[in-house]
Amino acid sequence: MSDRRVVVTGMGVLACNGIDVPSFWDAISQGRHGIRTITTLDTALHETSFAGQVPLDNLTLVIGDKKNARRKDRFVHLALRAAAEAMAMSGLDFKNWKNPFRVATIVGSGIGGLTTIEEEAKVLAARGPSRVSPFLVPKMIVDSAAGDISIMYGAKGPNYCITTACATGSHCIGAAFHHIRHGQCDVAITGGSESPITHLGLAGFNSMGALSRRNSSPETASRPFDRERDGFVIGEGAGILIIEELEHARARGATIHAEIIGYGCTGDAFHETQPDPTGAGGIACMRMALEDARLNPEAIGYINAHGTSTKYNDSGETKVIKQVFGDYARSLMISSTKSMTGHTLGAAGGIEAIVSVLALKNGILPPTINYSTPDPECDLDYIPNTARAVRTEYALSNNLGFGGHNASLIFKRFGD
Amino acid sequence: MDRKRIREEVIEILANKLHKLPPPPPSWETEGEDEEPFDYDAQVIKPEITDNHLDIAEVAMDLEDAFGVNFEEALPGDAGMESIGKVIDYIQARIQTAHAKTAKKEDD
Repeated sequence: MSDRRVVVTGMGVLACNGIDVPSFWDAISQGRHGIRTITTLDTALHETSFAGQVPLDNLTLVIGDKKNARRKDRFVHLALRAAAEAMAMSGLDFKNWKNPFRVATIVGSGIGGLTTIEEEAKVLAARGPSRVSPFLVPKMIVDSAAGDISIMYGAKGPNYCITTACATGSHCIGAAFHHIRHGQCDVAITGGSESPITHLGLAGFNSMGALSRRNSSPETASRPFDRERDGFVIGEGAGILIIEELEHARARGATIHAEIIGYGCTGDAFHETQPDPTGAGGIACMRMALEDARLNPEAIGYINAHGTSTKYNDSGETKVIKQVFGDYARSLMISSTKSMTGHTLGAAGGIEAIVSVLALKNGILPPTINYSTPDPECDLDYIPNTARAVRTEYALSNNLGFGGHNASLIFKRFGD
Repeated sequence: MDRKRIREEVIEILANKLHKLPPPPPSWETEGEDEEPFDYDAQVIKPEITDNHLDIAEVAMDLEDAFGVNFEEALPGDAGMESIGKVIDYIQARIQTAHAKTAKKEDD
């Protein structure tokens, strides 16, 4: 086991309830959501008319070169803006890397440039192949966020994208954690970004019955663990972290927000979209993270759950938590902040890592909002509706993706 | 379409997409009145304005759409169309060829 420790020195976030870390944390810690009726599409023919949209139009999102903004999909603009906040927070002098090959960029997206794909598919159908934009491919591919971030910051170390649906962001952070711990780099820009609120995105998730259809009350639609939950609320956003080897951070006097101490990843090998009802993959994933962190289960004070507000996930995740933590599960404080952000798919792991870090740092555990009717299958403490001022040492963040991808990260409070 | 109109539209399209090219004057009627006119015709495309092949492909499509021509063997910036002036000449020649073919068909 390596002696190299990995810490968080920067964070950047965009979500429907906050366009930077201060506004996001303010909303999360006070139980404020950002779920609204969709404003950028005509949803008349869709079964769901609401989502968690980042309240910034495309041009406002762009940093730097506004004239060439059209050459990047929205999910890349979200990633770049979050990366800019994270980099500024870290205080790293990216224009003068001692060795740029020691700086990694591992940023993912579940779907990538869905807006671009839809637009160019229309061009193809209407005007033929010769009119498809030469920018289609670089705009739509899921690795373009990682590529563009590395270009912006001159980062030449390990550079790739992981795509594991809703576990994407967590897997990216875990991979970056490993690279630093194993000595292959000292700094990593990592997390996830997603912009799936398009006609195809809405239609596709609705066709499989995954989305809430609570159109009469969008603000209460994302209700993880509640008995009346009827599906997730699709969201967009980005969560990017700067993580760094501890001594590298200390040597430059960086502010350290938390430490990453464990990572687990497994597969269900069960179904394209449903979790294994036995929970074997999720159980093994959390146990792997705990073993990696060298922690007993009872050390964990807070779990930021995957908690999507779907029937299968929430009851399944509850069952898995009980298996891993035994009787101690009743003492755990668990919440799903997807109740406030919606489900941001590939960005969720990045955004929720930031929530976990801030929860530890500030001693405030965010709530699961819209919790009003207990479900006998979900009978743990989900911090219903109001945040709790509790100082805890260790937080675990779960994210699970279609295809049976499981990821768990463990963070430790730093300092004092 | 005369060369003057072709020129104005080519420069508008290129300036809109290739941002190293100075923007055209607010009115073509006043081009060069207040200061030394920018010599768009002599401006070499690659690499001065761009050497990005995606940029070139995109402006080529825009020019094809605007003028109903095709860049078959070469693109703007390639040999024979190194400068904006030569691109304008190419488009003018293509338009004239197309008109001549149309006129001949009508005569036949």
